[in-house]
Amino acid sequence: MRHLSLLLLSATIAFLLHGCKKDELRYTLTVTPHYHVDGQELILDTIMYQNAAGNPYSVNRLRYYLSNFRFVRSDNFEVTVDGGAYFTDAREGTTLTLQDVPAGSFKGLRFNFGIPADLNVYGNLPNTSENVGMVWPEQMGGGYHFMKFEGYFSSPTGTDGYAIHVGNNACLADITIATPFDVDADGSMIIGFNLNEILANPNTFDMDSGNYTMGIMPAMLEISANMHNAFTLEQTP
Amino acid sequence: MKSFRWIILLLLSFAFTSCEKEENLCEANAHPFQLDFPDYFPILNVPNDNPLTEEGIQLGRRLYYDPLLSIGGPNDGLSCSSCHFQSNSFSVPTPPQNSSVLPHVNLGWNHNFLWNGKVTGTLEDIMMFEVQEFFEVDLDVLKNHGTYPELFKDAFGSCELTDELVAKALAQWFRRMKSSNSKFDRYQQGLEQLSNEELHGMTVFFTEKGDCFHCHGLPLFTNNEFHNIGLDSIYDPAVKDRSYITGSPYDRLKFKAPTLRNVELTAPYMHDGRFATLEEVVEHYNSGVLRSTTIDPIMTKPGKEYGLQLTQQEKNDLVAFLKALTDWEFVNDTVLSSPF
Repeated sequence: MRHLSLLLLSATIAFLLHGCKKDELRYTLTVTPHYHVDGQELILDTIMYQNAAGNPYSVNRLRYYLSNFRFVRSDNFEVTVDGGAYFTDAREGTTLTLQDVPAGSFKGLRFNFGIPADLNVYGNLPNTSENVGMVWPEQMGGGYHFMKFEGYFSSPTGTDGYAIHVGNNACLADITIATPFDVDADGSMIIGFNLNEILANPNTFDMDSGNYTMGIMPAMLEISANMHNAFTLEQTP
Repeated sequence: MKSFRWIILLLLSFAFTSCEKEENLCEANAHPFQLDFPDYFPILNVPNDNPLTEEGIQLGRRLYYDPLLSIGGPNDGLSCSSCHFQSNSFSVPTPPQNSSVLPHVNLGWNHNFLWNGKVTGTLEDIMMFEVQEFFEVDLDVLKNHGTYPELFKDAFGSCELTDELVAKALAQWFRRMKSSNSKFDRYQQGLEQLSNEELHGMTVFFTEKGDCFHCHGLPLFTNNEFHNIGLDSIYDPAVKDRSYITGSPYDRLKFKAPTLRNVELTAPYMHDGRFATLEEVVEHYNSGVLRSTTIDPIMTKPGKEYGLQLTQQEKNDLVAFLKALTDWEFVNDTVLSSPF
């Protein structure tokens, strides 16, 4: 009889706990990228920045994907907040919306620069104009561009354009931002994106030596490696 | 006093009935139209306040082919179809000197219109421009016409004929002008095989070899943006390029990338019609690119600084592939031809 009571009590507690988990509070977070170049606000279409290689340059186009957002708990457990891929356009000021974010204290967040392999197949993202505009031809491996970063730079011979395009599953970068934050209400977070970091650290990209990356795997991998240092969490929820 | 109340009630009931009757006079008689296109096409953006209907499309079609649209305006006597022939994918083979006419095909998926993007937004926006600025449509002509008021009423449920409704009808018609049945489309759907020449040309097109895909990518064969492809090296302020609209020196010598669907039917080519054949166009990319400060980096990337350097066979194959983008059904479809 005593065993039965204990069993019933345990079952009740388990049920209650399970019930509590199901009712866990969930929130919506808006993520706004903040574009800057070593602290200078991004102003499009004007040669006014200088990269680590010393190239004065402008930014005329910056389109890219962030995906697979995860929040890291203090026990290192990663809560997948949103496994999808978000198209983002700096010119349009695109923001991202993360739904059903669980409440909690987190010691950082992780996300991918690029598109996970299962989604990086033409047709696996919704056929919006934005996604279709990022298609990477089947003949070159298929999927989508992870990033189109384009503009002009002052070269020894005058002004030239650059087009840093990155794609291919090998170039997916897993980004970690180790800044703690709490989620206890709907809110917003600002992720800083330093564009000079695309072109430096650890790999310095000299536009005079190459102004184009698509299909050039070593160059794309170098850019992908640089992305690890490009993002910061500027405003917590 | 009692009979006075009855009179009031009678008057009120008459007033309500007559209101209702007047509304009925302007009731729409529009039936939804479902536009079919392959699943690899982008989602078609249709404004909530201008859904596709059979009646709206037919009204737009009629307006497109009717010179009545321009009566009294700067283009008096012309209709849209005067410069946009169906047999040429709704472009014209003999445009005025130093110009060319962009084809009216798949514009429902566009958001930049005209060679320099003078109008951006939706089809309703560009049609408003056509109605108010290009044709300067005289609404009285339409209002006093024997047929149009009834057609507008059926399509939009409005007895008030406005510029906005003319633009909306035309926008519906332009969405209907969809081309997605070329040999290439049938190949994409596994319904038809491309020839070896076309397949090889497709590889040139979609790889760094030709690098056509960045501006003319799948499935619309335009990225709907503006590029300097090295046609000229010196900026001429008299030429109304993209910088004429934006004022930015970085937009000099840039023009909209046109769709390559049905491109074999849309000569002459480039914004000024300088090339008469597809072979000339390919040769430009192969060896004729001129450098300037705003040239697209894709045109001068490492290894291609002096053009694509294709072999004669590759050039032939590329042209063969471009011709596989022709949708003969589209240019012969009587549903898209003149209703008159």
